[in-house]
Amino acid sequence: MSLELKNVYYTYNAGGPEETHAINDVSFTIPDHSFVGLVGHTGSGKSTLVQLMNGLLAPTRGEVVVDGVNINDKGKEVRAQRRQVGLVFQYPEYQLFEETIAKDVAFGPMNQGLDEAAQTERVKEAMALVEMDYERFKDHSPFELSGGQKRRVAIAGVVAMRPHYLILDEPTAGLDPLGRDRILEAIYRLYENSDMSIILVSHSMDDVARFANYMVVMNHGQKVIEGKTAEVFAQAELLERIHLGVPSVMALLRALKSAGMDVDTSALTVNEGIDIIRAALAKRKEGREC
Amino acid sequence: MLKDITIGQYIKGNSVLHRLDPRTKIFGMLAVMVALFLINKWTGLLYIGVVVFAILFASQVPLRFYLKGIKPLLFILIFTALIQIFLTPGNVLWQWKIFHITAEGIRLAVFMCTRLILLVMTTSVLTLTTTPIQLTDAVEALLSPFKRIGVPAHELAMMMTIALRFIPTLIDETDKIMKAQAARGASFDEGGLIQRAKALLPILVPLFLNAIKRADELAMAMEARCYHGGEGRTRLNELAYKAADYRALVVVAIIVVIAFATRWVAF
Amino acid sequence: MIDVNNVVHIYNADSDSEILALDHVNLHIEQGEHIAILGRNGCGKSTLAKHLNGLLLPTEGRVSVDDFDTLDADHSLDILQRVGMVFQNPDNQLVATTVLEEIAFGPENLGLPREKILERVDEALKMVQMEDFRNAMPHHLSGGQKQRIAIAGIIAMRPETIVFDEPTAMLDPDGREEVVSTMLRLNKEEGLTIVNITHFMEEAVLADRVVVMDDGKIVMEGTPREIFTHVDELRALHLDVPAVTEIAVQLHEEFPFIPRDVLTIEEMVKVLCP
Repeated sequence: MSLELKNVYYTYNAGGPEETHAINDVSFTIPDHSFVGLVGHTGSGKSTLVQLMNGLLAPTRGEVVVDGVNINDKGKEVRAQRRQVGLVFQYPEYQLFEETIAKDVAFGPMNQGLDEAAQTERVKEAMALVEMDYERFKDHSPFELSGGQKRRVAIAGVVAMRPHYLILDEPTAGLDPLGRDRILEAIYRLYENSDMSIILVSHSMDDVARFANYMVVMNHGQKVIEGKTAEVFAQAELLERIHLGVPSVMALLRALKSAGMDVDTSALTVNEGIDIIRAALAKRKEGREC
Repeated sequence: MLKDITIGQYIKGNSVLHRLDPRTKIFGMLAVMVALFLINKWTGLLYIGVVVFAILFASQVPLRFYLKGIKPLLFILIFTALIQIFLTPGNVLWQWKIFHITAEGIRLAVFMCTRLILLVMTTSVLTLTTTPIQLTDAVEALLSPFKRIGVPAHELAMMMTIALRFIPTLIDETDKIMKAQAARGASFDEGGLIQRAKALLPILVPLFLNAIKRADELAMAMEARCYHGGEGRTRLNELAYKAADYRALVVVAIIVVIAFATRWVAF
Repeated sequence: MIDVNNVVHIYNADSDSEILALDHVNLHIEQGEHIAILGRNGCGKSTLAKHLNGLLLPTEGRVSVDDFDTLDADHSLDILQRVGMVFQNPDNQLVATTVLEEIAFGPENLGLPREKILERVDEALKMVQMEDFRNAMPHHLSGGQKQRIAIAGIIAMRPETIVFDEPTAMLDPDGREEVVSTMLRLNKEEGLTIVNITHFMEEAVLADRVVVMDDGKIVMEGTPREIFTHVDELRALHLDVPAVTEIAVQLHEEFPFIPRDVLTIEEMVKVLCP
């Protein structure tokens, strides 16, 4: 069980005067049940990549293989296989359109051809997973909600299709810190409480460090590096060279180290950072280096 | 991508025609159209054909852009031609059952189609050499004498400007919403007419709701920049007739007079 | 100079859905100051911003800009010219189809003659470092560039103050950086007063003064150094604290030589590796 890209290329306006090679020979494998941070600058090809991953775009060359099936082959089963990859776009609240929240969340299951009872079951399940109380909200209009709540309903609309892989394109864009934390924590619990893999597209190295256990780094349409989060952040020079940077605690430790302090620079969280600096300061009391 | 559709058909350039006042071009276009309908002889058609092609040449816009403008009219052209060819009475050249072709029919068909093509090319001169903004300015200027009888010239022009500004934004947004709904399994090209119309709701509802929000925010942003209607407002591009415009208007007048005169030639 | 005096603002007053958005707010903004207003969504910071140029009028209390009261309709244009505003969504505040026309929009509304308008357009483009984009179409620009054009459109009206209402919320890190550095330059080099409404603490750190709002009230006010050492209070208000400051505050207990008010990595390096 894995989502795999094999030597994928994608070209916009192929043959035209404005031909752009958005994706250039990208291969990677997303391990089963992982929380992936997909990072890169605007224009690095992330948005194209996520559309390739669920079949909205077909690669110019190469294959996208979802659990053993090439999703760009022909046939009905293949079409169903694409639904294994759910995609939540940026600002997903702008896709809400139904009169009630329950109806909106049911839109995907309805398109999958499920009967009403099955749809309702999916809606209940999806709303529970994004932590929206079904009984309380089902008959409300989605347009009465706050920004963060709307976004969770929109995510539920994709979750209700029971994808095996869930891609979220910058789910925290435009939210305040509270809204951001709530969404990210809900996504993390969604990951823990299901067998889904999550692919989080993000600009924030802090958010990725906090939640992801696997990372894919893109730059100029090419994959720069992939691997376990700690391994990727261990390549800090590489990340800094392509101006992506590292989580803020790691940036601090790296600055201290280059100023001569003997610290381990692998820490990603504030508490780890405190422990490391504390240890270094204790050592200095005895020896005095730095 | 949808986003790259250009607004209007303006082709950048610096020809005499690009530099003319948009109002001059509007008058000129109308005058040449009148001339096209005044002519009724082959000499007249040849004359106006030469005039139109001279104007196209002066615009320095490649001919293919003018041909592109004719393409959508191909059906109407063929239809017009067929009607003229088969339904005009006169010297029968060829007959099969009830269908007959007459020499007069062919002549009329050629005359009408050439006239239509020239007409479309004339309007293309205006849209290819004038930016939408200049056109808007021209509309405002031409309508402003009617302000006194209640024509909201400034408001109309402002609405046109904003519409032009938001067309690419809305196209972009439609594209995004369609993709988002497609990711939820929606399909827009299956089923009968009613089903297809229904499939548009998931696109139209978000599009409209967001457009209303945009309008609200834009109104506030405009107010914040001291917009308070046309009163006491100056324009960056104040339209002003220059010597070239007067010359152009004289030329246009001569074109019309000669076109009128061709009605009295023998052939 | 802007003076907010005991301002109350109630949305939908005298109906069932009354919302108290501002609750007796007092704020004095000096010419040339750079103020950041922090607070979570719905705390009233945007409502306050729209009072600074009279787009919204106080239900109670008063706001004055220089010597004009925002309630005085005769001077609303004077106030709007003095206090410009940049909004969150770059797409929804641009009016025209070219950059040139966009920046000219404000000066046109002020009734300036053509030569003056062109002069101001060029000056404004230079200040946001976008001279090469004079004839570009806004929809071909990136988010950060669009915001800089919006800023240029305000500068062309020669304001004293620019109020930024979450100008970077919809931008990527590069765009955010473009807007913030433009903001700082306008403050330092042109002496413009900057009021930046934001929920990014990275931006608030750069201000001279931080005002924290919650529930329609100003709950904290001070220099970034004073504000960000209150880690627990900020957390309770659901606001972020720089990781460096959080580390410094915690280490201060054991190692008193580390001050509590460290805001940047460079400062921390200086403290730990002198």
